[in-house]
Amino acid sequence: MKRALSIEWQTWRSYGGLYLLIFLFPLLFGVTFFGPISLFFFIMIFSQAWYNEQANVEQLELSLPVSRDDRLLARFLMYPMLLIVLGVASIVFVFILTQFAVWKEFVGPDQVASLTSGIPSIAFAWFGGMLLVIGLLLLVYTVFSFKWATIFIGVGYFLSIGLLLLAANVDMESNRTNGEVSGSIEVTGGWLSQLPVETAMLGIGTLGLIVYVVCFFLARLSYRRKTI
Amino acid sequence: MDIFISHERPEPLYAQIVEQVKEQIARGVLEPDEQLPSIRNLAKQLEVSVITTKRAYEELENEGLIYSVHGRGSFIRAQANNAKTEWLRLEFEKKLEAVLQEGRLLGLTANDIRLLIDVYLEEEETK
Amino acid sequence: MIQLDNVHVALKGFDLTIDELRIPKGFTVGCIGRNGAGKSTLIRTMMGLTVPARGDVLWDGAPLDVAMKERIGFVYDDLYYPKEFKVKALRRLFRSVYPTWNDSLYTELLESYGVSEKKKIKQLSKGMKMKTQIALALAHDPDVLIMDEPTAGLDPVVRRQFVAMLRDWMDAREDRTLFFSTHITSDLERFADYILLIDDGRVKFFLPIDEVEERFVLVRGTTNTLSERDQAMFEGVEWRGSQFTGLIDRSTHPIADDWIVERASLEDILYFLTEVTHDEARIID
Repeated sequence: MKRALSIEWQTWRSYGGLYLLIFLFPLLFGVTFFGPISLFFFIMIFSQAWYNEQANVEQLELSLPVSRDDRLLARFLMYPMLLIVLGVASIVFVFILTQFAVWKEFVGPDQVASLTSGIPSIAFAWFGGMLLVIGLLLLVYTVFSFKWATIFIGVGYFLSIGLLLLAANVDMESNRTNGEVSGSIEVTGGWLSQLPVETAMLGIGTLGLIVYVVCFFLARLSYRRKTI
Repeated sequence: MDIFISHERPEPLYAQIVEQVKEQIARGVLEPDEQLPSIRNLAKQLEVSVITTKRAYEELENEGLIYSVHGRGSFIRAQANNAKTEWLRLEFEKKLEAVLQEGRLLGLTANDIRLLIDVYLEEEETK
Repeated sequence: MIQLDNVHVALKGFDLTIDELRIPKGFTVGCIGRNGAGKSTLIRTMMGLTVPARGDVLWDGAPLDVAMKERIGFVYDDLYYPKEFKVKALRRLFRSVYPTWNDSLYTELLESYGVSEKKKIKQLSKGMKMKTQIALALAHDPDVLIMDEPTAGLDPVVRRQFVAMLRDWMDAREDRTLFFSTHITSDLERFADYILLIDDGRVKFFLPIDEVEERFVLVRGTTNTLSERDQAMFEGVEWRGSQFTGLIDRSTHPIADDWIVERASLEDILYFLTEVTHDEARIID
């Protein structure tokens, strides 16, 4: 398993300095940095997948002493790991930024308020949302060709942005009503508005995780019989 | 052991090795109980496959010309003297046959050929 | 060493069928065939990259597993790694997955081949890429080398050196196995122990070299020495005006004494035994 992770990491490590870019997003976008980070992440996945298919990298990687199962598992583990690392790094960075009045003025007080109050649940929802999309993406990419994965990425991006904006909107609304978490909020989303916000966040997060795990098992079934 | 193999000749390489070993035995170049190189070493030396040298040794053993001692290698088997001359004589006959065939192709009759042979034999005698 | 039973691979527009094939341990097997005959597919199937629709591929009696792959060195017809990466990325990759990786040996080999690790993979010539793959394959001390057209794109001098190097590698230890596919048959003439001829997705024959030499000869002559009945005896014939050249399998048809007989090179065998498509036949006519 260690070998498989090492193989997976080889392509990621080559992006090196690009990872520092993620720190730009909270700097510029405040709470909506989750959006650009997602986009950034999707571009990374996109280019990695493209490169791999162009150069037929799997032919080499699977000739190495690793099993197909391990190789796939490593890929599925790497994404959540990177998400957590990037997410935590961004959040920590944001907290550092909130110490600077200059920055607070730049992004505005609303942003700061929402940042310092609802981050953990937003982060978990974001994490779950990302996993949901990535899981489906990896599944489609494993089973089908690169072309279909690309189509899906576009759809996935807009979906996750939509969900995040929804979540952010809901959260900001709840803050305005004196921190009370209530169900009677004017929010678009149908049945979602009947739920306490925290539960909705937890729900999305957990759903994402479950979908991700299911996608892994489905992908593995297909990958075992795939001709490279 | 000096063996020369040719990739141009139609005979399989293993057959060429067999022929040359036979000739060397007949001429006394290879002596009874002399050890032959291992099939691996011979293969390396001649730049052929071990399959070729192995086959050559098998053929030689089948014809009773060599014997092998397990774990030690292959050795020349002593041949009765008349067996050696027998072989050499057979080689001579083969060559004679080839010459006669060529003569026929040239259009020489049996008489022409006999006359030629007599001429050469007489030359030999007067020397 | 490698065993294929009842294997059928179905790809888009191409099929490979192998009823039974046993690659023996400790020998060099040369796989020859035309482009597109199925040599690469066979190798990919052996390496577990191509999954057959049915049949078993066994290594030392068991399906290919991680432990076995540690002992296999592979050289494909191209370096399948992102072209933008530097060559040194390959060292990192291989070092992290092969327990028997010998870093100093790899350095030595790259140096002797003149490959610079600072270059990007896309900057390497075809020959350099091949040499890199060879260095990568040899550096982890494999028991088996599997090569798919490793000499394609190399000039004749380099090819000779390459074959000499493979010879040395095989000679160094007794239990090493080499499987080497090529359409440059001359590479194998003085080197292979077994010949596997693949044509149109099927095995034409798999024979030890002594049998190949024993059975196949070229016969030349003029057409007036050839009767109708004789023509059927050839595995393949070629005509040039009144001259013919044909391949005979001596095990099925003995040779008459007055025929001019010549050694059939592997190329001759390949040429006469493989199918010529209708389109190709038209060009020849």
